[in-house]
Amino acid sequence: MTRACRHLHLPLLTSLACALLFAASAGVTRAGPQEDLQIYQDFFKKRFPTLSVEDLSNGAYSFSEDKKKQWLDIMEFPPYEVAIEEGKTLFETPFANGKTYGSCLDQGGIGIAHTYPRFDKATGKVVALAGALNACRAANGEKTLSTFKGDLANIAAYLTSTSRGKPITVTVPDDPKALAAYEDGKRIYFTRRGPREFACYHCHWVAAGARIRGNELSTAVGQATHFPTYRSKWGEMGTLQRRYKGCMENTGAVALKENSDGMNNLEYFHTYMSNGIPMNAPGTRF
Amino acid sequence: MRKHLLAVAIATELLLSSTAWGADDAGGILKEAKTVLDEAVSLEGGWTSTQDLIKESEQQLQSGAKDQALKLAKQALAEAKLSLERARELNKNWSVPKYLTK
Ligand code: HEC
Repeated sequence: MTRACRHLHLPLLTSLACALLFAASAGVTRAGPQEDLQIYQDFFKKRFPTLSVEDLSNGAYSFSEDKKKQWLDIMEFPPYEVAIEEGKTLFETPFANGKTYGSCLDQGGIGIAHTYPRFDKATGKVVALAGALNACRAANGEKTLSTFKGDLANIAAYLTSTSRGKPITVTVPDDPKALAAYEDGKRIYFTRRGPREFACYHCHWVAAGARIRGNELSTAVGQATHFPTYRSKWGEMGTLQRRYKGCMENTGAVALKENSDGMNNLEYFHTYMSNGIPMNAPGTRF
Repeated sequence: MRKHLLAVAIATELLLSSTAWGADDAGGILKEAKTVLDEAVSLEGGWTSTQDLIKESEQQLQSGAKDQALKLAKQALAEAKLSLERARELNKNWSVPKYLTK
């Protein structure tokens, strides 16, 4: 039975009728994250039949032999290793009250990063990994930190390293607020902004693989698998939201605020489309 | 109702810009530019170039270059208004491209 019908809490017969109605109108009102996922991933399978999903997660480097070589050279001694070490120490160091980050997270935080962002039923909002770490700090009387970079990005580097190889598994539970958050992320992704009126999709779908100012454009599917990432340009780790900010500002748009509902919803939608692709974080980018 | 409010807003603005600050008050125009930009930003449609113009105008004002400050402030205000107008329009008219809907 369709989601929409279940939420209406109708008696059985009526809800069957409802399901039929929705099925009949499916051509028009097609929606739902699962159908989206199929369409989004099929798009790139058809467009780049020779690229594997792992290739997609290597982003722009799958479109340039030269850069791929340069990148693989860097990866011999990945610059994120230091961040993983630092992140581990920070993660394990107790707060002033004796509690740890692990006390706020499932499985003590180990091997769960590939399931973020998550929808939090209690608040009705989406939480990204760095946001969850910050919420844990606040709950334990510690001051909050940047969710773009610094300590939280380093801790995220450590936590994602314990999920490396696990398929991205973002879920949109059967809850109208979760679906609304996903749809809000979609809205942000497809809305044009800035003086040049670019939307995210203009560069990372049909234009993927093409060059723009000397950069090959990566495919939207696969991007979320390797964050946080150490970027040479930054000289440090940065989270996915920090990267979003970069793309927003590059097109002349004032970026959304870090860890805002909008950013979190965008990350929810954008990471969901990489579901099933092995997590490959932390990553390295020029 | 909306149209009505808009008319009142425009009338108020004309009145204010011609009386309270005077047409050549960079400080007043800057203040208005910031308010309009804030609104555009709250609709996720602000432009970084407007932020830059505001900053430059403020710097000019501080260094005493009033004419230059005024020019930049006016540009900032015009841009902020345009961004707000575009944000409203674009927020209403977004869609998923056809190649991603089936
Ligand atoms: C004008 C083109 C353009 C637009 C619009 C744009 N980007 Fe990008 N984006 C780029 C370029 C260029 C890069 C760097 C090359 C690459 O990795 O694709 C990039 C990189 C990225 C990356 C990092 C990919 C990686 O492998 O490290 C992510 C994530 C990303 N963009 C997301 C977004 C999101 C989300 C939006 C909308 C808010 C967006 N982009 C809008 C051009 C754009």
